[in-house]
Amino acid sequence: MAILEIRGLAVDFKGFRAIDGVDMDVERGELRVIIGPNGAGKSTLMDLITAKTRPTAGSVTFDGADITGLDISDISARRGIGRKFQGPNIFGAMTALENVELALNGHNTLIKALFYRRTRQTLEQIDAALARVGLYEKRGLPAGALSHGEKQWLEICMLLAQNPKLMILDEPTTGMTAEETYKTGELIMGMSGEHTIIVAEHDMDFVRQVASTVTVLHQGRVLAEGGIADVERDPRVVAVYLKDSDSAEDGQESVKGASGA
Amino acid sequence: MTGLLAAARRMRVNRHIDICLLVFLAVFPMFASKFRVDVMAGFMAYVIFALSLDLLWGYTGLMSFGHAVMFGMGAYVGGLTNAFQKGVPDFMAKYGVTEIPSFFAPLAAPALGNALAVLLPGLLALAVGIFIFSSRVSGVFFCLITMALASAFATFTNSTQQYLGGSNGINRITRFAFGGAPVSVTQNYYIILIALAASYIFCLWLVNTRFGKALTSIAGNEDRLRFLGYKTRDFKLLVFVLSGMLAGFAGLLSVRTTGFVSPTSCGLEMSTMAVVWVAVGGRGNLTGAVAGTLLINWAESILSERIASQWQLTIGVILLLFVLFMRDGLIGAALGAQDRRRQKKLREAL
Repeated sequence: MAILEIRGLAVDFKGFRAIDGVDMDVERGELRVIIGPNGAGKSTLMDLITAKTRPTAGSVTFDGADITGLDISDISARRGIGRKFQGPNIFGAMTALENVELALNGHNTLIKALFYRRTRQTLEQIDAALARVGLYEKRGLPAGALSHGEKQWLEICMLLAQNPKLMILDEPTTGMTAEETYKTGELIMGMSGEHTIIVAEHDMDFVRQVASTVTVLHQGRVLAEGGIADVERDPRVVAVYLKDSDSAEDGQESVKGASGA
Repeated sequence: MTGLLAAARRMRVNRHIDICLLVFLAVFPMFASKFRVDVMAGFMAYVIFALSLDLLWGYTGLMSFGHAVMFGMGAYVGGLTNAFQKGVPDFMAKYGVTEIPSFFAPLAAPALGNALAVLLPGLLALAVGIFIFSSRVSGVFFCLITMALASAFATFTNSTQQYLGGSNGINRITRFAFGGAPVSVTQNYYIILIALAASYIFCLWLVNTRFGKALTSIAGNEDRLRFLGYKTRDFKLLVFVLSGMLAGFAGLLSVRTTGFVSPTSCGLEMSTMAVVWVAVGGRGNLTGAVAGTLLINWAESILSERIASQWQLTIGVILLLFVLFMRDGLIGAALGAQDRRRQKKLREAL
């Protein structure tokens, strides 16, 4: 059975249907990539899954339970869905280590937060997560002093510390160089299997690199779904998205712009 | 010895200032006049009040313009408790009250009354906090609601002649007594100093817990924290209650030192002053609240003897200068300089 089942999901923003009847199944351990042009509804779909936005219609079932419209913190702490937003969303004044420590799962209730102590065991967990994204040496630096790419990795690292069943990554490679993007792709592929992952991405090189099931969104609907090779050959997809995106990338050399939907 | 020196060098610059301030406060009565010692004791109670605001504003980002309500409530409850020890106070008798009203009965017992001076502000904070944080009020609306609360409370105390002494408030309150006569000025000074040190250590512990880190993160990016699985509403509620209790404690100590409480101690003006103290010293590091409160209050005490009429104007200009040119306050600026130096070293080492 799929770990995530989305049925007839729709949301209406004052007459604008940002998501319009989406059905989607994601299997346990799968790495699913969502692509689509700007404004296709990628971020909105993620907002709906993580309860940031309430749907107008439809349901989200996760791990056998209906999670539609729950509280954000419950979705995260109780159901085990972690989310990385577009662009780095870290706490700049704290060190990299403190950021990861704050994300470490199982210590988030009021009482546990008051009496949490850093032990050898928690420190090992934190260090392991930092090492995995290659930030172990820089753990003592304030997160705000890290480079843009490092901040993105730090946020992925916070997700690792959160240890969710489902990780949702919204354009994790925004603003990265080609080399950094490749490294991020390797990192995400390494995390799949152990975690179910949904990634929204703009960068087609990244999508080809992780080469998994792709869902193409267009105007709030699922336009196509399947392997990357099939999707890239689909004439409807080519018409609305791929041509556009490739030509845009050519103009931007190896560093992508920080803008995106 | 070298180990001790190395440890001292690793400490943040404000911890050195803390120790200097503590030593200074500990020896102050040995060279200052009795009058100044008593004034300083009152200011130290203000420092505890400023610390409570720093927890709320400096760490959690909730800028309250009504925090003096909690302080004033502690002062009134503490003041009434003291007054009732000598029977029905004069200001009540004037209105024909012949015995202590039943709703004030718990205050007739000194221990319970003093405990209530801390607990009641906490309860008020809980009630107001549930309303504010459940309806997701934040930012400037939080300022406005707390501001309205301050005005309402000041008006209430002002108009309650019969039970709270109206605009005169409650006077001739005596210092703490343990068995016999009230303690001396110097003894009272050290009682307040110990209370201040304990409050400071409590705040320092609190902000260094995971709870404290979560508070800082609420100020930075509350939504991000919710996505990390934190129920931020509970966190804000608890810090609001703890901060309210600490402010009430400060009010209790203040009233037993200065000997009086009136509606000006719990209104908008007093709330704003606390914001100024913390802003000048620097918020979010505790030391700033201590240094700012002592600095501004001594400046007021000394300068207002000379330029009484222009003091309000002076304080306005000082605040404006800090907001424009030194947003982190005095201690915040010193910490920032140290952080930049350390970061540079760290980066060179990598």
